[in-house]
Amino acid sequence: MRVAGEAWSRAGTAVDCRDCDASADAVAAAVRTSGAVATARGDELRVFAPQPGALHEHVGAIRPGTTLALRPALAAAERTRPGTVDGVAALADAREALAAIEVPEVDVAGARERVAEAREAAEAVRADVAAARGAVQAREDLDEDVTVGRERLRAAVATASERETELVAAEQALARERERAREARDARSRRLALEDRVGRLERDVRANRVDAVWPAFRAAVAAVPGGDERAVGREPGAFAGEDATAALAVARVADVSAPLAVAVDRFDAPADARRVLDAPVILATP
Amino acid sequence: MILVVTYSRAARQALRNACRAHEDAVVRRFGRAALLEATAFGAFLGLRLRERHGGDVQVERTSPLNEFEDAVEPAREAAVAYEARESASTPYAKFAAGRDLPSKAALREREL
Repeated sequence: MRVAGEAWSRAGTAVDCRDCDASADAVAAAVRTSGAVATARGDELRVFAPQPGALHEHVGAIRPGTTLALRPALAAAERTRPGTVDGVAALADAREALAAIEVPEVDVAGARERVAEAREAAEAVRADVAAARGAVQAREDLDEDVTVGRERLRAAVATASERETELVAAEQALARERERAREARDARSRRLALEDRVGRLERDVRANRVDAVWPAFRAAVAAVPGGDERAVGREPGAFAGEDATAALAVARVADVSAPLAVAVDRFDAPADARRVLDAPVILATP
Repeated sequence: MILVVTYSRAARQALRNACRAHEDAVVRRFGRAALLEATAFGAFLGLRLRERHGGDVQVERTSPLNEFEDAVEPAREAAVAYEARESASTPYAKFAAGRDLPSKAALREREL
């Protein structure tokens, strides 16, 4: 890796940047970005190194006041190590099956609206037919001319018949959409079951990862400066020490290729940090 | 009543939240589904979920089944007679054959 300021550049697997006025967070940001970040002095700082992975979100910057969610950090550390844990293959299969589910597009709302409108229109014209028929009947009873009335009745009946036809068509379309919606819901149900399965497997795999590295974490706590093995509980994830200590131990457990920004006052020289954490290190100010 | 069924984790969670926030409008909750009161407010809750989660929320209107209505009566009589059968292992088709009861096919074809 290479760390560069505006007028200087330092290379190696352990770089001391405590004189750069760059906080651990700023250095970690420089590791994440391909561009430059600003130091507290306002100078540009660049880091040229392999891109960091998920582990860096947990232990990319280690400060005295670091807070760490230990179990997720341990799971991320386990992922960087060779080998696998139970459930990984099943999880991949479940994710693949989930991605393969296709839910057909269905527009039942549109079909419902069409039926409601068609029904309203059909009912409205039925009243017209009845009124026209009544008018014709009344004039016939009085022996008056019914030509105009008959014409009006014929027109109303024709409109009514058109609207009935539309209503029947709309109802059939709705029935078809409902049938398709039912099939779509079968797919959605399968998808939900798989989503739940993926969620369960993710939890299982995470727990298995934590279990797998717990002995290594215990040994790492004993090995990092300021660490005390007695703070490590029997139950995986149970740790009573400082978060910064846990972060250092997690870093030691993981296989790290992108540099870690370290700002805890526990290493005399950058090379010590590099050796203990078994990772490229940039020493920074808190 | 208003029946709301959800088909995704997000919709299921939203339904749970809605039920928790409006217990007075909830008749019964079942995992990823719920029966809401047949009020405009019950419909409002269901439709809000459908608006947000689209096809992952199914909203239906249910109505009570009156088994003494003409359309349902044959089904009720058949159910009463079959449940009173002497041999538990007799299938319905065989049970109905010798009696004045509708066949399975007849029951299936009859729309309510």
